[in-house]
Amino acid sequence: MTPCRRFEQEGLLRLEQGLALDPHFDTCPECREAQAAYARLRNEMNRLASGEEPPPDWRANVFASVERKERARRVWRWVVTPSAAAASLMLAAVVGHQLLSKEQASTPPGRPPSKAASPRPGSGRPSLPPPEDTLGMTRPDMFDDAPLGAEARRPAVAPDRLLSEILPGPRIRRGTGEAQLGDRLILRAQVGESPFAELRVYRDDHRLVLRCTDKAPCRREGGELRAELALESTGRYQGLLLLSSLPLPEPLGSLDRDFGAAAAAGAQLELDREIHVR
Amino acid sequence: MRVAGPPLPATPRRERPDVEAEAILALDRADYRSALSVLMRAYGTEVYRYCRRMLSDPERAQDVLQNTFVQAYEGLSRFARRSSLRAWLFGIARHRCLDDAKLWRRWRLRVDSVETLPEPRSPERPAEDGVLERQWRAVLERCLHELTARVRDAVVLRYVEGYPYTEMSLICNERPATLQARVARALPLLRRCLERSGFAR
Repeated sequence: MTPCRRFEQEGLLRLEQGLALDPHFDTCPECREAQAAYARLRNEMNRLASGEEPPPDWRANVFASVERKERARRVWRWVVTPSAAAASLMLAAVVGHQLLSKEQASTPPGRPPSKAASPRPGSGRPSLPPPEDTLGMTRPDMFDDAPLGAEARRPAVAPDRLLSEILPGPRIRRGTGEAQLGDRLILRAQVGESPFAELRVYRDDHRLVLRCTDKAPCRREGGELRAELALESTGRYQGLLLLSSLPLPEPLGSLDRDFGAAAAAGAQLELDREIHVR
Repeated sequence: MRVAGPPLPATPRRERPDVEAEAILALDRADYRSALSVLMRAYGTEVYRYCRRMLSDPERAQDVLQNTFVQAYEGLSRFARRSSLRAWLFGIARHRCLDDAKLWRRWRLRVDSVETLPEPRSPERPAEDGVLERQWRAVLERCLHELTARVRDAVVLRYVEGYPYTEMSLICNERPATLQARVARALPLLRRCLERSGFAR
């Protein structure tokens, strides 16, 4: 006769769910035996938690590591930010000079150079093509508006060019990007006065690793929503911006399903490029 | 649906309100080093033991422990207070452990090493209680490591760390029902493994 396995097949799950067991489990000897065996196993596993201590110097090691990282960050700010500013100024001067020379060469004498050919007053930057999207993904060193990393990685997305460029309706645009473990992903999105705005980041399409509105880890300031995410696992990350005049649907657990649900609810959606973390 | 689960076998480890309050006060002052120090003192050993169960190797567990707290320090300014600091720390530790387990598995596949199992216990050979206890512990740990990392994680959080499913759900970012089913499916696997090793009790 086959031994009764009902306790393993049903009883264990019911116990984990906190539900009562049916009377069979009190009368069937095999199930009673199994029930007792699993109770012992659970008790014994609990004993594994005792008796082991981390090495005595681990806290000092953590502080040393924190100190090293902070020092590196300070050095980075002191060295790189002024260099970036100087490089930007030089670039602006060179480009400005070239544009001016070209304009003067093609303008008849006595006529002022056309306004359209001049660099934007006060911008210090050459003209950039029109913005393509409202959601920009960048590296952490760009949170302070330092242009170095931003210019190098995404020349078409300048924060001051993203205003009011919200694309209506669902739109998917795919590109590729690379990042490394330990990098941080900064998301910036122009959300204007939209009453319901949300940023989400998915890893490998099915894991929602960031979801926020105007509270930490997001910040909503002057029509811009920002978020920061530490890339601590390998995989493919993708940001999604959701805007709506109505409350947004709760996430269902995967990018495809969430995208579809939000689109069906009339939200404006924008999917960012894929970021591969290796 | 109820999410309580069977009564936990021993006093479950919970966050300590005094510690949480002290760390939150430090966070409010933007004194992240003090907050880190409080958390390391209060929860360091617990996190280490969790990493040991998840990774089996003490050196890897130490590395993950340190990385967990370094990462926690970097994230303290953004701690959203949606859970206790303890659950938040375990969430970080869990990710670090799963990443490490993944890397380790790949490495092992590459070098084709075989972890040695303690010899099955011979019924004819009596053993001292202490020796038996150590052997049993080693076998149980080995059996835990036969589970996949995510299943092991659920079992360890539930029965070694004593978390209720509601908190596990926050740590793992998964529904309680999913975790309950995962644990219920894992227990028979553990029992079979112990039986194969001659340690069924």
